[in-house]
Amino acid sequence: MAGSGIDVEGLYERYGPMVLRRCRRLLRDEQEALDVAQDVFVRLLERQDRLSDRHPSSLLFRIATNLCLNRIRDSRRHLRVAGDEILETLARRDDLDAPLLLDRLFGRHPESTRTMAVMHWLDGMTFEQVARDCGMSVSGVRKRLRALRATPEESRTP
Amino acid sequence: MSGEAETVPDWQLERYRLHELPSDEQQAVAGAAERSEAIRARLAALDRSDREILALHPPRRMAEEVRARAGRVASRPTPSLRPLLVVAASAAAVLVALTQLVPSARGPATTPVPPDETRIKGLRSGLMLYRQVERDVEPLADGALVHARDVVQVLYVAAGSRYGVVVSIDGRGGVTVHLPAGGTRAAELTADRPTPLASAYELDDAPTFERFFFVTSAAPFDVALVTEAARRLGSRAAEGPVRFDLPPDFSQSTFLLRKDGPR
Repeated sequence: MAGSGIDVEGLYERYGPMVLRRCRRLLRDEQEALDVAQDVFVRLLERQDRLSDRHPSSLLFRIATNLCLNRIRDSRRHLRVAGDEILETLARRDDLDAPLLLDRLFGRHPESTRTMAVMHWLDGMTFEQVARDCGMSVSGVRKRLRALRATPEESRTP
Repeated sequence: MSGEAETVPDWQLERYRLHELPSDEQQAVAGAAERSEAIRARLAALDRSDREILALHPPRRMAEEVRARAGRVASRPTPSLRPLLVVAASAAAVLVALTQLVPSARGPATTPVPPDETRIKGLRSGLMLYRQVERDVEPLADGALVHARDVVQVLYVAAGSRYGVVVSIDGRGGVTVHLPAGGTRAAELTADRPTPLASAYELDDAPTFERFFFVTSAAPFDVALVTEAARRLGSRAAEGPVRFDLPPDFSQSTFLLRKDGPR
């Protein structure tokens, strides 16, 4: 079975509370948060090679964020749950078109970009911190988030 | 000091408790905690939350549930990607052998479907890319960041299309034909499963991006039709959505790799 060599119990004991809190914050529903938190560890079993990361907390945080956003997208509740907080956060920024950006978070952009956007704009991570967590360059993160904010006309510009 | 408490975001405080921040950030948060009663209160609240969560959802029970879920995922009757094996390596490229690589398909669980139809049902034609990581490979997402000298393996999903061409355009506007391996006519496609191209591909130092295109048709066509369209598009292929200027009876899909120099 996948991940049979992993000490799931030990990992959950160390990281489970952090993961569940993350899911609670994004989903604001205890049952859904618990469900997704378990899926985070299932995902970890499936991709146990990633456990070679020096800091499993950043990997688990990223997986949790991604799965929560998937759950929000799939349940089409994003304007009622996490979207509230995301939109509220984004709306405080003068330099962003919040409704457009939120729409794009769940639109055509890659899942990884969506996760980066939440880490940067909602969690307050710097570009450097997002880049470190996602294994990308700072310029790469900057470019992705800039593309998220670009108008359709701008995004077509070579 | 409440202002300082707000400057330490939740995620950073969580990792500080786990001692998994880079040392400079770890020291900065430790210093902030020494100075700020509010931060100490947040840390104490996290300690309490840990205890409550672990009491409410005991590790042993959670681990059992996670393993049970993982088992259900692993034994799903609808097939999924299986582990990939790197079977050969050379200075230039690594061939990745794909064992039992069958696409996932979601049909009604209670409706029996012939095996071959199951494989195709619900699939869309397109490309899948994997990158070699030491002796393993990892799937790449559209838009993934890659580096010069990374070795990637391209697979196509024909999903019923009969003829196809895979080309890529790099940041210099250079066009490379990956499928067919030779000749002037589009390759006849394998219909029933994701199919790896004959060899892996080592990315060169062309800057910025490499975008792969998969063009398919129900009828045979010339490779030149695609390569000419690719050359017309050139480096404008960097930003999506992009399509070749081809007749509407051709299907097109693309897969973008963003490049960030050598590792």
